[in-house]
Amino acid sequence: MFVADLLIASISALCIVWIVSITFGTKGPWDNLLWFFLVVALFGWACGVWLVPFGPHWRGISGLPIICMGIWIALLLVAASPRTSRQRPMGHEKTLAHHDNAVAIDILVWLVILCLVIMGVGHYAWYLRPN
Amino acid sequence: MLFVDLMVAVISALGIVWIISVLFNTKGPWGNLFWFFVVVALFAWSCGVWIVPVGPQWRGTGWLPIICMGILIALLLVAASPRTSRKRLPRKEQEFVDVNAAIDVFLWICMVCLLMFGIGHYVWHPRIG
Repeated sequence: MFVADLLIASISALCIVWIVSITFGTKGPWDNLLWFFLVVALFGWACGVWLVPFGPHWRGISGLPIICMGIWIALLLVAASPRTSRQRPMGHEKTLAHHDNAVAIDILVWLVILCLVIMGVGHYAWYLRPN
Repeated sequence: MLFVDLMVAVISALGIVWIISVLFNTKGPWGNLFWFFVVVALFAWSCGVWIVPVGPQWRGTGWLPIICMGILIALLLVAASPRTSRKRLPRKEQEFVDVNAAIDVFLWICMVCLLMFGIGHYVWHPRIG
């Protein structure tokens, strides 16, 4: 159980971090892929195992909650990271560099918020409470 | 149920964000307490309600998972934020380094909490028994 949970969290975190770092051109808030991976894997595992099991099962393990948590955390960390792809306004590099300390509230923050709202509302729509 | 869950998440997020911003002298990664609060409250609510209800209940809501999620996310965001309390380097170097968050004690606290949270599942969750 424990090993399978950790295995799913590690493998999914590897994929998530790889895809996210390529897509958004970031290495996470710590500018280091290893730390980015470690935090996503740990969050995916630690919080995922506490979620109500849903989705398909593999060896008695419901992998979907772990993968979902990994995706949310990776998205949140990307939203909280400086990104090289964040250079939309032409000729505003100096302004961007100046404001890099506080990360911009951009489309990704809204995406995280949207995902969270859907996840939260989905709980009431799909989850059958034991009582 | 939805209203009570949301209320617990919002009130706990308010408390968590206030305590953390005062303790660690940060306004979160976005330099804005409002957004810090919104993200913590949303994470606490949306992930907290999906967690197996544990601990004491209030009006049918297990509030402990919601608060735990709020604390974990707030800690993670503090670990990922530039903070003014980080004054270990000389001023010029500090300004340069602050663009990326440092791997410091907050990240370690966050990871220890996560480890305890994860291992606690196997110790306390009825599934194991």
